[in-house]
Amino acid sequence: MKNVSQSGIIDRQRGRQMIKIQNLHKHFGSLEVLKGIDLEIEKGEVVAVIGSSGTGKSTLLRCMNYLETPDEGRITIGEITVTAGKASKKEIHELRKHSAMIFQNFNLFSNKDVLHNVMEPLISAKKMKKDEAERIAVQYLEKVGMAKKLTQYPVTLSGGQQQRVAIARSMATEPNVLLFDEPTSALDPEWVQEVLEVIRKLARAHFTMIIVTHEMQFAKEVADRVIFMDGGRIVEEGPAKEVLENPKEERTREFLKISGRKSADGESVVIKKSRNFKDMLPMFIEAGLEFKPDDPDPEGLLVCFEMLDKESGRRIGGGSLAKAYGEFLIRSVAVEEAYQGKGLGKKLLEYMIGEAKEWDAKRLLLTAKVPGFYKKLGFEVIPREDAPPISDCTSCPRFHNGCDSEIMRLEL
Amino acid sequence: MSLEFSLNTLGAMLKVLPVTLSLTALSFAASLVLAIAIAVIDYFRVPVLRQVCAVYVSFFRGTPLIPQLFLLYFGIPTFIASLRDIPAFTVCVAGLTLNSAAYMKEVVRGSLLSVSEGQKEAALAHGMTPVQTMFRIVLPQATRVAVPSLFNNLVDIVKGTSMAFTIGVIEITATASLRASVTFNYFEAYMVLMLLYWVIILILERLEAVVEKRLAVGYNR
Ligand SMILES: Nc1ncnc2c1ncn2[C@@H]1O[C@H](COP(=O)(O)OP(=O)(O)O)[C@@H](O)[C@H]1O
Ligand SMILES: [Mg+2]
Repeated sequence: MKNVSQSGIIDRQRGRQMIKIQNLHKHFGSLEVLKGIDLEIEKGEVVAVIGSSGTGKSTLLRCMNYLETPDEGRITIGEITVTAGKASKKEIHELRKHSAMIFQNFNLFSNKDVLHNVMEPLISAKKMKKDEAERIAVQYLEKVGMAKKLTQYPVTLSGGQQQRVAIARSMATEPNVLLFDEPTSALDPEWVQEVLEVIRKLARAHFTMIIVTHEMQFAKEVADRVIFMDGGRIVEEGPAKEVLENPKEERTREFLKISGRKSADGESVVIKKSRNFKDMLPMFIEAGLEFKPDDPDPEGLLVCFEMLDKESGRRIGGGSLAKAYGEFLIRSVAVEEAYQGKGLGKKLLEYMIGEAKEWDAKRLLLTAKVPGFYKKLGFEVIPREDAPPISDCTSCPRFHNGCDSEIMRLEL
Repeated sequence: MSLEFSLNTLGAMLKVLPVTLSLTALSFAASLVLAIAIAVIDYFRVPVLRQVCAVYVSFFRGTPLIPQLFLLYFGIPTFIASLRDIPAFTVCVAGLTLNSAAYMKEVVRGSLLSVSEGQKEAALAHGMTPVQTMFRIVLPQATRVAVPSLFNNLVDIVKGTSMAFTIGVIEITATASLRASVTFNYFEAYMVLMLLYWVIILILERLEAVVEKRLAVGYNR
């Protein structure tokens, strides 16, 4: 389990039990959906719940805040315990105040703008004064990067933006636990990453969270513990890496095999245009390009290309197109190692060449350590003396990417 | 055609126009409150009250307005003597209210149901009570959905007030028909009367457009 934290206070509180679920049962008519769930979660723990659809993952989360009424069992969140069948309205209301849920479909209040969506629970549930609620709402909207859209209404936002506002709404109530029910499943692929990034940040800050997700890679990355559910039961649980890489149970293995089958190929990625060069820097550095984390955007940057895995929305590659000194330049092309050898680099580059044509480029320049790949696409190596005096590199004033790379040109 | 008669009649009608307008306003306000109350009872499935309301709605939708007014004005006071002195105006407001609330309840109910389940769940899941959810999330959105239909109900009430003359309330229809029967200028009297109703309703339609536009804030891109 991760136990690093900037704040000593959080560390001291970690390890304390935050959630305890005992023998939880739930039927819908004759269908038994939860068949006795037992679960304990510590303060600051991030738990990912995985499993095929229809196995009761959502129902489990929804019983924890009584959006579904459990038939049997006990639920403890923080200091409050509710026993199924004996819960009064007041107890249910109290229990709900101890958690907050992030839904697949965001469920923002459509009669309220961004700011008031976050303020609403603070005012009605937490009885805050308006100005205090506003201060806190803005503070949390800043954390999810939505503080610039305070007066926009949900319909004017992308799915990713709506989900970030929804996360801010939940965080702002400062619950004991955040319940995520497939927070990225309803998103177009290009918005998935920004939402996962917000959740990653929360995980690093040790918010107690339960995340139902189909993003195995993401689960491995952020969860302390993974729970695999099947047929209304917890079949296997343990440290994320262990469950996802070395599952003990046959059913877990079977599930992971099926969900891993859809690996990336040309059909399973999308290319998104943006100007988020800064966001892509870590990926470029990882891929061995010579950048430092705080490098400025390339000179004359026109557009960035982000290659996203459709399934997970993860950024698995990218590049950029710039125009400087009258030349169109392809810069910083990279595809994550695990995704190489599937023709994705070619797909990305063809896309970028197409874009350059749209800008009326007559020719394209790039630097490459492995010229062979680009030669197949029609680029040819040219002498350094013919290249424009632009540099990617801090040590010498040339247009190159490390002194051992070739400068290449493509006439369009 | 007598222009002079028409203008005189119009003048007389304008004098009692406040009666028609106040009948409309009071009946509409009261029936809106009643309709919301019944719809909310329905929404929260309040036992007993819910069944009582269902019978009332069915009865008042299943019978015409004039017998309803007669029953209230002439019928009920024969059993309850203390109701005998209630003015016809008040009885008329009560009759119009009971009648139109029975229709408006359906409009309100439909608009309450139009608010997505997910938003209600989100409110509850963030510690809001069902009542807060109702007043702060559901009703504001339902209002927007209900407004066009409620304006239809309002128009029906305006026209319904013309029945008031049957129990002796002097409003614009009563004035027109009194004058017509005295002078035999039926065409002028009823034409002027109808034009007056038309103008009232045209004004309400303009008002509706303004209200709808204001309520649409935030819902459109
Ligand atoms: N409100 C409901 N009424 C009837 N059946 C339901 C209801 N909600 C869920 N179910 C059923 O319960 C089972 C578990 O659903 P759910 O918890 O949503 O699964 P998961 O989130 O793991 O996909 C499914 O078979 C589903 O059809
Ligand atoms: Mg689900």
